[in-house]
Amino acid sequence: MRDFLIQKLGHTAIVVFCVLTLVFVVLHMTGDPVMMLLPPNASREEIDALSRTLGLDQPLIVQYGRFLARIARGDFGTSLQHQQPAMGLVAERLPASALLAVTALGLAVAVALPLGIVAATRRGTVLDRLAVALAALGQSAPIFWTGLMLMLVGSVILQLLPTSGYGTWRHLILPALTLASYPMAAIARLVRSGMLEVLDADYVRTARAKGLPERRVVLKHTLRNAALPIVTVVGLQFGLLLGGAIVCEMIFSWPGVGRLMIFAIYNRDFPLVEAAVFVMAMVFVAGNMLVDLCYAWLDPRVKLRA
Amino acid sequence: MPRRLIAISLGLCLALLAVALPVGPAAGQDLVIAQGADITTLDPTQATQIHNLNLFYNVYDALVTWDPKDIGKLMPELAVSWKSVDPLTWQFKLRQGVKFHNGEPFNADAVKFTVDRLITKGVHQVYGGFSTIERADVVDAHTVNIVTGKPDPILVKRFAGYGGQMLPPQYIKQVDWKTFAIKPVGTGPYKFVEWVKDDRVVLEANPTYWRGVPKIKRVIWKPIPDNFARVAALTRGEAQIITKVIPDHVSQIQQAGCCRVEHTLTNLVTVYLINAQKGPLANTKVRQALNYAVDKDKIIKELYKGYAIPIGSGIPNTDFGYNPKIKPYPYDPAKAKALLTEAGFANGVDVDVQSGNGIHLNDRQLSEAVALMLQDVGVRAKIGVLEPSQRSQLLRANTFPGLLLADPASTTYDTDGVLWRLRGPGGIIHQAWPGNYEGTPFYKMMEEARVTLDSGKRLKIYHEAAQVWHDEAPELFLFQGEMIDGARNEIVYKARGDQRIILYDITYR
Repeated sequence: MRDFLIQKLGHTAIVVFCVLTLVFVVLHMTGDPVMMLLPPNASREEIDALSRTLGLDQPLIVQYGRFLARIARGDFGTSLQHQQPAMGLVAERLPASALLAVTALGLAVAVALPLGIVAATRRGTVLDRLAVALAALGQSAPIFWTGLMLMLVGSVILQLLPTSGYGTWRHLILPALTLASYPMAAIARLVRSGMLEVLDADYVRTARAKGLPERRVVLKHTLRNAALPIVTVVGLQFGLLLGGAIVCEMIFSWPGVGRLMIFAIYNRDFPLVEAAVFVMAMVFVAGNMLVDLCYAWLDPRVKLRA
Repeated sequence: MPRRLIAISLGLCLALLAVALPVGPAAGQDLVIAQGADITTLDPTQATQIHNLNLFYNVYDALVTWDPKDIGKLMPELAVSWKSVDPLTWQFKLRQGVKFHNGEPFNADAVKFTVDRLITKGVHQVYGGFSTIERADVVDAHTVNIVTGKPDPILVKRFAGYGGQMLPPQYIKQVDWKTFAIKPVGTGPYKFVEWVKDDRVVLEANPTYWRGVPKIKRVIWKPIPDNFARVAALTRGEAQIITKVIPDHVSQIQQAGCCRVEHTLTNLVTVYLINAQKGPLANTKVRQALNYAVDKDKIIKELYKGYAIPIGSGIPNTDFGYNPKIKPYPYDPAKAKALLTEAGFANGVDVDVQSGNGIHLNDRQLSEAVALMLQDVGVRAKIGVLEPSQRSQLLRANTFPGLLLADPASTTYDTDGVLWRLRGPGGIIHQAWPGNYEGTPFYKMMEEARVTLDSGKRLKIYHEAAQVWHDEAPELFLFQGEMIDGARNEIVYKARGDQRIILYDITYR
């Protein structure tokens, strides 16, 4: 277990280093924050002066060296747009992002699990077809469309929920439903296909033959064995939901990391993008690690070894 | 396990049912204003975008401001009067008895402190607006002289735009610039209360404001990036004023019954900058042909629902120097073809038409429409879509090929700002058109106007320059746009040509 963790941490460091280097290169090659900071009619003199102050007049390799030295000290620098510590700005928005991601994922699992089980055990029935159709809709509808439709129905027509914003649990419902729609569909389909594969297995027949009640056969013998790919998807979805909620956060004006990051990318706010990407990379790595740990718990054959 | 699952599902259903209660109207008398983006700072020297400026204009006062009935005309604010004492010196008499929100007095020292900050290069974003200033001299506690390097006819106007907000020297020395940027102190009608990033900025009325206590006690600024969500927030009563309504949403607001749109012409002119350094676009006749080939009226009607007027030069009718005699190029495809033939391009020319996608309103659609119209006269237009930062980089390097969509504006409502700051020496697009290079008649005119204090003479120069600009067509002139805001019917609010939301002038019916 200890070796496993040490190895994972080593991997994490390499992954994060590569991600940050890639982000640094791509951002610096494709845009200039000075032009985004200054008014559109700024003169060359102003542009050059601000470039010098920000150290952006130096060769890319020198900037990269300084960047690495900063990161090594744990200093992500000051946001160019906000003039505040970049990591602090990301940290401020993490709770909102986490709340939305956890709620959406919880909602997705809570709906997808029973839906997938019912679809698999009632294969070929109307219920199954309905579940499959719902899943197809959830996976194929673009999130901006789902979000706007939910807002139109829930807020504008029925006038039940606030259109956007943050603060109360009412504000959470529409963005969480929107964000949950895709993983809900993905998980439901996975549960259904996983269950179908296992339902025909010999040990399931044995379980039935020895007279176990069907509920126990489904939930204990089938579901647990079908759970491995589901856990993988749920683990990966969490990272996606935390960092990938950009469209949802924009539509519902949710103060999360995704929205912060997208504006930072637009404005080439290098330190802010790097801090946000660092946090996202860490979340993904942590999600993967959790999945590995869950594997060992779910499947006794899996041993956590380096 | 199944029971637990059923319980979870039931719980969810109950939770959904529980929310099936109507949401009440906006709480109390708080005024909620929804803009398209959150502010990035409250330090008025560190941002120039309108959603930031709207906060600055309410938390701070400047020496002077624009007359809401006639934007471009100056009104006193913290300065009660001003005069030019010699060609290089402007003297301001300051309002007495004004205090910052922390109790610190506003006086000539505060003006000097602010000017010293403004003229420091490379540490903030508004230096360019004040680069003509050499220094500020305190004459007495309520008189200050601002000295320029060369005569500057628009010096006073500079203090009405961004960066002109007066800063509290003692407070900033006590805290630091970073703290000041999130906990600001000004002399304005509203005091800063809190800023929850990406969620809200709360202001409350300054009870000791020199013009009297503002009528609305608390104001909440909310960032709602999505256009539809902003309209929905307005019609549901979650916001009382929203900015940046797109023309397609106007009818939805009008039909809701609760709300109206407020719109007015701004000083933003939408044009395609032309890189006329080489190739066919270096030929004046080709550039004129482009101007004849585009049906501006149709574009305004179809893409902008009539919320714009066509222009004949890049100077909007709000700015000093506007020449009403210059009319827009008429839509005349036959003339465009003839001009291309005269220029030696009877077989047509290849031209890049570049814009962002969402940087300017309907920009991609505009490029598509323009490209189609150009194709009708034999210009083979190739559309390019740029990401914001990429676009800026191209501009900076002066390497944009062909046509690039832009919407220049002058914060001083003056031809110098909308034209010469961009095209003059050191301007960002100085290279794009050889007709404004040093030694050309156009260059001489614009440089002379820049230092001419006699406004009659200056106006005459600008009228002539605008004619040259129109005839030489270094831009594809399109239109001067309107801004559209949405407001609840219970709110007394008028959109201003300078796009500012001045809370002091807003009341409940």
